[in-house]
Amino acid sequence: MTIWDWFKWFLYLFRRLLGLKIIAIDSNWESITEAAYDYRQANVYKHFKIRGFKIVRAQGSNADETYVEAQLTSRKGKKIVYITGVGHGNYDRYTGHNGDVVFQVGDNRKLVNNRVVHLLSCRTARDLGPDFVNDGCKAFFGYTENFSFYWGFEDIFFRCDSEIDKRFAYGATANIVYNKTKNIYEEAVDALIDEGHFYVAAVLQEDLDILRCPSIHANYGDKNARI
Amino acid sequence: MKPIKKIMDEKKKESKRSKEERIAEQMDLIAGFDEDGETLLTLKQLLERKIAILAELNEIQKGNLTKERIKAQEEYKIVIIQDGKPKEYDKEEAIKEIEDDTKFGKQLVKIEMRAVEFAFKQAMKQNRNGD
Repeated sequence: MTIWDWFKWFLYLFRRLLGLKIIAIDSNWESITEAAYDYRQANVYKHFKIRGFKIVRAQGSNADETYVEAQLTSRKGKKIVYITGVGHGNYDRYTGHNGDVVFQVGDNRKLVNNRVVHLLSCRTARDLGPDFVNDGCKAFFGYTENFSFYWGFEDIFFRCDSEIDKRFAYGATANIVYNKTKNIYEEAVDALIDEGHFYVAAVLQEDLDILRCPSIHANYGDKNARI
Repeated sequence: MKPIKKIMDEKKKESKRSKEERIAEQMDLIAGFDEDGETLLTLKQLLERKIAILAELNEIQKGNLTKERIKAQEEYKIVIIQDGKPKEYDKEEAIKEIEDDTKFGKQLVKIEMRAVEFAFKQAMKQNRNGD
């Protein structure tokens, strides 16, 4: 084992001892959220697992306000440092199963204080994200307008967005997370252009343009935040 | 998570059309205006006449260009999510959104213009490489 391997092992043990957790609030009630849910199940959460985080799964029919609130406000829930998920959204809300509201603009301090939030969802970055930050959220990552993707290329779109989760799992700061994510988006856009998929590239570039986080504006929290 | 390159390699294997065919299709689509600002030109014509695209187009020209490109496509349908539910637009409906200057119409124009820009960029690159 190299020194780096020992260091990673030490970090894993440290997180296990602290009992740090993340919560996954993933919808899968129709084809669009289901596609993203499947991708995230297969590709995202393993990164948190191997780095010692426990995963609280508020997925499928559990992606609802009551369940999520109970998890985030319970005594054990105090160990939750990261909120992530896929679901439909609007400027003032993030929804879960059957489109029911999970979070909305208002007093969310008990839910998001001292936590990092990443929502793969339409529009939540315009109002909900800054509202979360006002309520103590350390950093918010989300999209100001509609997150769009092309069927047949959905894995590329989800891969780009998932870089946010992966980098936070690695312990990166919000600023590094953004830079790495931007690089992945740009690499994918260039690869798509090179292959003549101009519309797919255009939509992916649009998604990058509407991504918001602390590196874009202080309304989205602290650039140095990490989990 | 798979690297982008690996995902793209898989897409290449799955794809029914070649990269060259996709680029050739773009060459024959309307992509800009002649220096008079009215005559529509294909990407191929723009490249032949060495006319830069998009930078000096106003919003009306961009809207007209988008409509022409949508009309020229044999099959056109786009699906967007409204209130959590997918809604499908055909050619006529998409054009109406642009004419009515709706938020969705503006988004269509933006994506179309970006696709043209990317196609232009790729065509220039190929020209430079002497393909």
